[in-house]
Amino acid sequence: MILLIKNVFLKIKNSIGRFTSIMLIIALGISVFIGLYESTAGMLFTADNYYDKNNLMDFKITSTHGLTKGDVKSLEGINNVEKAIPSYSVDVLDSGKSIRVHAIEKEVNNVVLMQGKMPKKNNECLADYYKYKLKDEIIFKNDDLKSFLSINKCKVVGLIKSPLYIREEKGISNIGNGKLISYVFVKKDVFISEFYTEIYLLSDATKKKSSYYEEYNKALKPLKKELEKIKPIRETIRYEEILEKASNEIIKIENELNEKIKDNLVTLKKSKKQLDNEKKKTDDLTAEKTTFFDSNLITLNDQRNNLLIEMNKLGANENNIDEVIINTKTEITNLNNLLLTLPEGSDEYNNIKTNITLLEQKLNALNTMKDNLIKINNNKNVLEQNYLTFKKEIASANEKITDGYNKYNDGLIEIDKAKNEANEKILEAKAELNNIEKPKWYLLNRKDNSGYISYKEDIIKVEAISKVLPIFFILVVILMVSNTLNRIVEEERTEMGILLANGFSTSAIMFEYILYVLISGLIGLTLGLVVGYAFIPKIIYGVFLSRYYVPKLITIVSPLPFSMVILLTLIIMLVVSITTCYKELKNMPAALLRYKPPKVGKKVFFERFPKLWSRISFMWKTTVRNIFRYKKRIIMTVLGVAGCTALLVAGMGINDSIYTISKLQYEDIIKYDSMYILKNSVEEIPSNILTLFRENEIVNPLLINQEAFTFTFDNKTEDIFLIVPKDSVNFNNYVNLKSVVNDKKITIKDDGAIISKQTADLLKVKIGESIKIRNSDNELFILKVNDITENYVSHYIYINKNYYEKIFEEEISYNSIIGNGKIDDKIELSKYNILIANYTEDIVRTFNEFVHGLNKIIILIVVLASLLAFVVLYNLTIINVSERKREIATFKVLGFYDKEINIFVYREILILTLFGIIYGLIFGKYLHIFIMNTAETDNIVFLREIRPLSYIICILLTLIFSLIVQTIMNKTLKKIDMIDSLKSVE
Amino acid sequence: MYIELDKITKKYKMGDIVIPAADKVSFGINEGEFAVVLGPSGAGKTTILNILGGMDTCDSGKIMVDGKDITKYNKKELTKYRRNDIGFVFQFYNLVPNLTSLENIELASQLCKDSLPAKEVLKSVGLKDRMNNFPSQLSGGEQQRVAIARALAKKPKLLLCDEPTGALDSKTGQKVLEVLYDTCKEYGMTVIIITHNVSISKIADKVIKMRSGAVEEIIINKRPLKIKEIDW
Repeated sequence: MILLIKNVFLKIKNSIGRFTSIMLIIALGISVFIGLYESTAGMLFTADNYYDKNNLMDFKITSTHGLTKGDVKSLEGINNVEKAIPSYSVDVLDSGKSIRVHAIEKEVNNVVLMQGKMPKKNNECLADYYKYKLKDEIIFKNDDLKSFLSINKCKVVGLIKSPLYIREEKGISNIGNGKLISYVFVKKDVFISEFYTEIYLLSDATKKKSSYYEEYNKALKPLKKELEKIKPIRETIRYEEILEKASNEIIKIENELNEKIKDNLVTLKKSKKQLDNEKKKTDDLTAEKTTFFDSNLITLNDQRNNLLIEMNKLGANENNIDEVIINTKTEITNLNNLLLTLPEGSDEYNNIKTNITLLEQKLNALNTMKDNLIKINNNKNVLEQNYLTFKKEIASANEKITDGYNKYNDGLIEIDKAKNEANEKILEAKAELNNIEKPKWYLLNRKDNSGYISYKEDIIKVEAISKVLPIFFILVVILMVSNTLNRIVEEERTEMGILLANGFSTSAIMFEYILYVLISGLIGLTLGLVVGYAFIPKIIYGVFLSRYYVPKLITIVSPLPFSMVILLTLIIMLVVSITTCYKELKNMPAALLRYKPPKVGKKVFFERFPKLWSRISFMWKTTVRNIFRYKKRIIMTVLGVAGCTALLVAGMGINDSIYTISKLQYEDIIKYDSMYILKNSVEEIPSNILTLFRENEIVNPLLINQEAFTFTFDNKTEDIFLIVPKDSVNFNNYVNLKSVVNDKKITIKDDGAIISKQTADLLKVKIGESIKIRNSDNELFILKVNDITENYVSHYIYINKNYYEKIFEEEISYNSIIGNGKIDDKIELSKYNILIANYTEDIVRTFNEFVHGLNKIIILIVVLASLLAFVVLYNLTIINVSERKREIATFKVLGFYDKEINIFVYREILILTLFGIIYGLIFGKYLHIFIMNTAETDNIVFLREIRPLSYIICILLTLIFSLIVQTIMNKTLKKIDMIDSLKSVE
Repeated sequence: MYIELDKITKKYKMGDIVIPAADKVSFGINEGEFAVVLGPSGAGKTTILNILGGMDTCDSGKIMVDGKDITKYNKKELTKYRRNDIGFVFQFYNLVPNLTSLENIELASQLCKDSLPAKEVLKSVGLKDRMNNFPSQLSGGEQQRVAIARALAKKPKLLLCDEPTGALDSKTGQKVLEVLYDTCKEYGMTVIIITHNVSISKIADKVIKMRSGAVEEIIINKRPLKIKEIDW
């Protein structure tokens, strides 16, 4: 036994090249299988572990109208809900960029503190590890901030990672430019919102289930159903609550208004009464005073008239009274003078004396009259003056009163008006009450988190590759091991014969070979497992780490593949070695010792064309016959090389598919730089947006309407975008609609649609046929296909306004604007009613970023495939040479130059390699299609084409390996001793 | 002399021991001569054959073939020498299994500029009918005759045969030898046969007896026997 074991090691030493090649093939196969499998498994496990540890919610419920304690209570009551945790979040702007403020929760969506401490004060917060630094001060801006938060800024005291945000792209925000850039967590007390903004649910059914696997989805399903049941109920309750609250409010306002009107009326009426009183007083006074003045005036006038009559009697009137008095006085003086001339007592004297007395009496009377008249006139004047003053006073008093009345009337009108207005308002409010939209609940689960889902999608791409590769490797391993062992056994049949003849049992001899194979197999296995577990997952995860904020990879050992790999390796090794040995060992020792006749040479197919056959050299003849003689080897080589080339092609192809797609789609087809999605549909670009565009040098913007529909094929449903440009001609500048038939530009016509190529392919429709699409309400629309356009990412239908209105029977309005140029980051787009700005360069960048990452994986695959190709070629060449040692030695003796011999030996392998390459290219193409089919997600249809350059690279790579192998073999060939030709056949 | 070996010495090192495979071997052969190198195994015959055939080099000494010193040849010149001047007949025939009898001969004849027509040579070894057969379809004797034809077709200056009948039974061996002898005489070929078989030496013009790496005796047969006359 010891002898046999010794012999095994001797064998290994003697055939170290072959031994190593088996070992390496096994190591490669296993490392690729384990590496790829455990990479994806490990990545999923790492993420799942991260989610579980930090209690990532299973469901997040949000509502258009907030959530209440009642909602929480009812959610707590449903089956499968372990906890329902109400919480808050609000989007705010931090220097123009949108960030989300969350409340710190203990039981759900725990944050991972990377640096700093948890906040103690209200104005302290935890912030995104990747965007903020400790001690940063973040100022929140939001028009509605006060109804959500009691603070408007916070100080960063801790830096965190959150399972909610595992990706650079964090989703959509309702403010800013629509892109959520980062996040912070504040203490829950800081939120003062009267309702909850969200409720997180943790399910007890999913606790032990791995996210990303079907078992999780399955476990979540019952809860989802329950939630869907409770959703309309809670929505209605909330609706009624809001309605009641609103109508109460209206009643309150109505009462208040009525009260106010009443008060106003009372005041007004009071002031009117006052006015009435005043008026009466004034009127009375006027009457009284007028009578007084009038009667006094009449008395005075009477007195005056009487006086004037008296005066008249005396021959005087008002004007001549002074003259009459002077005349009378003159007369008296004259008479007195006369009297003096007249004797006293004469009649005449007496007469005159009497006259004088009379005159004197008259004079007295006249004087009295004059005085009286003056007095009366004075009195009259005073009276008249007073009367006038009084009249003026009354007039002004009356004016005031009239004013008062006017004011009163105005007041009345005002109240009427106010009344009407109030009524109107109340009516309006009541009408609005009817317009209050029913609250809508959104049931979001983990899948609605963009980071969560894209992580899986990216893994699927790797998984697709990992599904196919190992099969090849294992196939190649089986073939190579069996082939090599065959050769060894064949070479050593004499030795086997000797051993048998010397009494060793068949099993003992078999044991030798089994041991040989097992040693190489086990070393290869160990090596493969080490590389597969320790290196490959890290390389692949490294690609993900650059895009995802996930913790360090947890390398896992999945029991199934681990044991499968070991078992499979052992079984393959054992089966191959036992069957091969048994084939020889069943012979008698004598037969083994005898020279095994070489396989019979055969005429090959080509010899049926003697003209062709006689022209080729004998070396070629040998080569051609050899190729067809050893069918097993043809299959081996062709398969081995084909497999490796196929892997190379697939690897390069994946790169091509993804990389060229972004170029074709975003450079050749989509020519606009940016798309602005509007909050509301419009007919024309609003003037404020036009101004914004002008300021940002965005020229020639075009309104389009973009709506999402779905179409169904093979029981699968895909999203499709319906695009209706406002101006079809201008649209041609932005989207290059190019016919797949003749590469010519096509325009959208009135009577049908242009659809994207892959849509047409999936639905198998031709120009002139029609396609069926459904909207979100599952309504069916049928569109005629006018033309098919080149397109690579997403499905599109392009139609014009007229066709739109014909199909959908409604007026079109537009919800997006496309244009070239970019709006300054700092501008708050939500102020312009722009929901989000999508920049083409961002899409391309994200795209290329992953392609770049994927490239690393592809390089890994290409390197592994290359190594495999190399080892396979090396192994085959070794076998080929060892089989031909004698022939080659003979050629040498016959005088063939080394070069001729090299070419001769290598030509055969080269021809087989070329066949292998051809098969590999074909096979690789299909492998690539298969991988792309698996890797394809809902929104990207990968190009199934591989660039000719990639094919050329694959061919060259395989040929280069072949050449390297040849160089190595040349040395071996040179070493072959001519003397061998003289030796007897073994 | 057409071929002249002068004090050819070749030593093999086996660890510390030096084994002299050929020790100052000297002999000459005339053009058209049918010579036999005779000796038991280990006498150094094969060493001489290897050196003479340009397959191996010697440590010292000189070999003149048709006036040229082949011991001075480098590797490439040796290959050329084997290609143009030497014909080999191996003990185990060493035919290319994938070529027919005719093709095996053509393979050799296309190597040199002035060769004999393959079909003619094949006819002269009596295998015209087996022209399109593959080696595995031929008996040992037939295979060896093809091998002889292959060597002759090159019109070599020297035909070297290493135990040409060693793998054959006596009857077949005799027949092969006859063919070899006759055709060589027919084409006027210089032949050296290496054998341990004493009977064969009887038909030779010259017999070089070797023992322990040295020439023991050179016998010139005045009257070589006919092949049919010899006893095996």
